[in-house]
Amino acid sequence: MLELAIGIILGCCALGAGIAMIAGIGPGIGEGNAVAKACEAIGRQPESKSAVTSTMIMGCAIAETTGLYALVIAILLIFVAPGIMVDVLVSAI
Amino acid sequence: MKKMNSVVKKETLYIALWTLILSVIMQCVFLIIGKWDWRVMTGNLLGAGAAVLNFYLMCLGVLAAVKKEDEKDAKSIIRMSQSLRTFMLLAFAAAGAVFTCFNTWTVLISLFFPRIAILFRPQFDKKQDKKHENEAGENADE
Repeated sequence: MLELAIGIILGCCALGAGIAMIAGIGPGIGEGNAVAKACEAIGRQPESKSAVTSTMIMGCAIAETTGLYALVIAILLIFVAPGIMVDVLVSAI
Repeated sequence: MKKMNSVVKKETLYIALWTLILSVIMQCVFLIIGKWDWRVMTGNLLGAGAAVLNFYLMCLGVLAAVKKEDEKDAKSIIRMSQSLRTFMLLAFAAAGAVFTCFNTWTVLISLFFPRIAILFRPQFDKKQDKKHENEAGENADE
């Protein structure tokens, strides 16, 4: 019974980590669109290349944060959560 | 060796400097709460290094994408760059969690330092703008 419970905990943690990483798709799409528009802007006004690139870099770094949140949640679910949950389960029994 | 772009150099230096400042603050917090040991330091080094490397690679990716004439090419370059960098961060974070010589929490917290640095960016830009305005005003008076 204990083995089954531990198996369910591990399975749920792995599933949760996988679901969390779906959030990693968003920043890629968002950044792609932003850079495409930046290319358009530079094509229209080549003299503003430096300013556009600088703003783009900061914008991309901000957009990536959501992906980073997902990554951290996934890492915690895979490496930290199972140990804590199994400890709680064993102490409860 | 190819010369580093001035925008990339400037932004990476700004992020690296802020990451260093925030790392020192984090070490101090761990010292104050009495949880400091050498694993906190190694975890911080790994996380902060990964964060700055990720930012630098993102700058290079954006630079390569901006050079492209075609929007579709630019999109695919930045998507590829983002995916590869996410795998890189995953590898760093997993290493931080698996190896006992690193403190997992400090590795993960350090990954957010560039984002915190960007949070302070508007204040920094305002100061720079004021300085330039003052210089311009003094030059005009002369």
